[in-house]
Amino acid sequence: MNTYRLASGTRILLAGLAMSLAAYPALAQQAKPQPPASHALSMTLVKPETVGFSSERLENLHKLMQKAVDDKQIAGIVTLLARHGKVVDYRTYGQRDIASKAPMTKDVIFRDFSMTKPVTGVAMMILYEQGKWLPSDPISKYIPEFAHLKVYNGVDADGKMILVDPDHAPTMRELMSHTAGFTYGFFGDTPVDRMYRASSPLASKNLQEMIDKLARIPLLYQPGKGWTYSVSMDIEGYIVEKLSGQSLPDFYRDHIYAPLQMRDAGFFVPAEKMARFATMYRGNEKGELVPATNPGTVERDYSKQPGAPSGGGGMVSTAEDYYRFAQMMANGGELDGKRILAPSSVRLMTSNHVPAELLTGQYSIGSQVLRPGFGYGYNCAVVFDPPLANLPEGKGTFFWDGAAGTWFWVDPTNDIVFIGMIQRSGGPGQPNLQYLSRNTVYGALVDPAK
Amino acid sequence: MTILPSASLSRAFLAGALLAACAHLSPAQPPAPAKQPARPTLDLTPVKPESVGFSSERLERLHALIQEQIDQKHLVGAVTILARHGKVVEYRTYGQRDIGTAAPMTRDTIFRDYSMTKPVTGVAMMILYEQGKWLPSDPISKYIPEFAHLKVQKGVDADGKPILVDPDHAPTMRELMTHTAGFSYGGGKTPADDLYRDLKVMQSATLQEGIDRLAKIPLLYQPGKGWLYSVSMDIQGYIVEKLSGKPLPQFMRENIFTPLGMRDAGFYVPEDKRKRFATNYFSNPQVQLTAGPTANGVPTDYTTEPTMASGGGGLVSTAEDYFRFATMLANGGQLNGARVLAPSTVKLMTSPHVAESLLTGEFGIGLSVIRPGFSWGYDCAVIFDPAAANLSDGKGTFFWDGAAGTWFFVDPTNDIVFVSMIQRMTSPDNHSLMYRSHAVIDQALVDPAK
Repeated sequence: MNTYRLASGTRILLAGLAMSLAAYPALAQQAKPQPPASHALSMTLVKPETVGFSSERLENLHKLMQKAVDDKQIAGIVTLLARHGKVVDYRTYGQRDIASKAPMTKDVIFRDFSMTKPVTGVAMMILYEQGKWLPSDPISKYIPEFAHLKVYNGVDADGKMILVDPDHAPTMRELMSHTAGFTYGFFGDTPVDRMYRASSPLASKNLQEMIDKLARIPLLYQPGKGWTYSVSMDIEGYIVEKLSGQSLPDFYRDHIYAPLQMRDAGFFVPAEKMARFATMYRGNEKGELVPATNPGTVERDYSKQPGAPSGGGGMVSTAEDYYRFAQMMANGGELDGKRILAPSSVRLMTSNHVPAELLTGQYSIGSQVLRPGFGYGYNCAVVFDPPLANLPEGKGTFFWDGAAGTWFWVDPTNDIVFIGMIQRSGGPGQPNLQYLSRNTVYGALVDPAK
Repeated sequence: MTILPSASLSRAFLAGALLAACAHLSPAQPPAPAKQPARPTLDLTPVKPESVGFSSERLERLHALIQEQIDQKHLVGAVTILARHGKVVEYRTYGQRDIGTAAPMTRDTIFRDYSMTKPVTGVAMMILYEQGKWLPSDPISKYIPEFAHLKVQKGVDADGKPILVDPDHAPTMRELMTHTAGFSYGGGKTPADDLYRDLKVMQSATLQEGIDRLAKIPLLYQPGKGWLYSVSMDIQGYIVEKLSGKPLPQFMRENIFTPLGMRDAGFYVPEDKRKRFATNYFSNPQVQLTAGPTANGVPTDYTTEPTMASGGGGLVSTAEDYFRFATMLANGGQLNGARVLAPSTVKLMTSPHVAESLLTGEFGIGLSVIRPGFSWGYDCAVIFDPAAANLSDGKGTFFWDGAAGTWFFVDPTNDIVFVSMIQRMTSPDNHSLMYRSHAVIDQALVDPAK
């Protein structure tokens, strides 16, 4: 994709420019170099009606969030809704910390957990655009340690694992779509799961140690024949380091966070920002919120840079940081004139890559059930047929969530971006704000043509 | 996408670039939803058919179709409304409201809608969906704990006693909305059907009593593994009451009837309107029309508000009332500025939701056979592939009928709404009038581009 650097330094997508000029001839006369400041993403709210939303109906979103706080199901929430690159609704609810009664604020820093995965996907796609890898490549091309991975095929009479060779070497495409055969080790109790738990690859000192541990564990199923939520994006983090020669945090900082001005995004919370770090909660048996340690396999100290930064779940950020990332995706790869990816790479990443025969409802993680109309792209879920998937959003909506309840989606059909940040890691009574918020947002989009 | 004639040229410039970026992002995806046609205040004065693409001459076939039924004494009277692009093309009355008194059919005649209540209940459910009150993936028992231990009937044993098994999964709201949860009306010959009749589910004094009785009856098949016309919409009526805290008639009045100006819609006919209430007839194979009580359904007494309001079949209305409801759906959820649902919600409700594996011709009710191209949405039938279904309607046509022969359809592709009201519980030809009317209306649309 060619870009054109204007005298002012404003970069405009040349192909996009040509297209918009063709569609809107009046603009051709207006096209002049513009001061870069005018391109800056504005966080000033626009009136919902100007971009097709009903203010009155958006109250359903506010009520939903407020009720979750009032019912003491969630301590505090930040939500951000944008359409056509304009922020429509940006609100805080409840508290950042219940004990100190500190209110939730827009600058609160959250554990993103698995919402790290789409960011790692973008890091991988940056390297893809540099010609560093192909989806058809075997993973072992970049990780020779994986050259001899076996595949688990049940147990014999003595309860010992039966191991077979993979039908084909697992590919990068499969790595990007959770279909290579890796797992996390805590969804099942197969011998493979037990090996994950015994060696704790995610608790390694560095990513090389993680890879070395994973090289000794067989794949859970034949590559391409299943879908299991997995350490695949942690493996991608290792590949990013190897292909770029940079540490994962440095690569993110230079190629994603800094260009997109994601000021508080990172893999740890520095001391001077610790006061803004949200407390994490879980629901106890009685459904009451109690402070929680990290969900998942790994205890983490967020006060310093981790030795093995997790491409699958290590990030922290504010709601606005993640919004800037998601808006970049919605814009086809750029924000404020900073181009991260080309539109075609965004499209490739956010298209469904899981074969239809796996979209049966058999594979899922939490409330994310792969099914007809609901697939998985590279490092994010994709709703490619929303009514078929019983969902209200536009076709091609891509999204993911995190273990502490954070969620986001980008709807390319309706040009909508939504971010929801909470810090609750499950337990009884947790409302499904991720999906219920969609109902309320699309119920408020009364003039989608606007 | 609207490009604002903003003072800031750069803003317009950016919007254009965004548009282009989106276009690049999703060339395979449809453009943003078509703008809902601007609809002036609903005007019931018919326009010349040719002005909206119909042939006046060919529309005579619709008149002949209905008049012939009356002339042959298969039918007593009818009211029909045909509209395109929100403009009424025809609004006709035929025959009589009552044979005994020779009272002519009039536009203000009130009819028993029976199962045409179902789409209205569907809209009530979707209003609550938009408020974030439920998700299609939720188990029904989340809202009706009485259903937490429903069993599934799996044939009978040697003694003719039903064999009961656990459901493979808890039946979901999605299944409740599509007649695929496993409920029935009790019209079959299985032990479970016997229980529907013995426990007199539909004759319960209140919805709570109906739910309590249903909780004792096993599902007729594994959830999602069949399609059976059922009490599901009566169950939804109970859920509407529970989620809204209001009786079903009051909820519908406040959120649907009043905003849409459906003046005579309700669950009974007040004394001052009784003289407008059509007599209900039975047409038997010997070509005799017999006035009869409204047996084989509920309610049988329309003089007072029922204590158990039937979301599956309790409504009465004029043709115009139902036309206003149907036009709201055709308009993407609003009429005369009264917004009832968002466009995405209407789309979700009226999209096919029955698994393709069930669209075999094995399931159906009357002439409405679930088959390739012909599915069921939430509370209405959907023709998603007209040619495959051997129908001439536009793609996405949704519709339903009632036990007394009333029918309507909304064709979103051709922007047609048709409502026809009659009162005939049985017909000599299995109510083929509905599908024949589709054919004669479609053949009269000679200029669909208009």
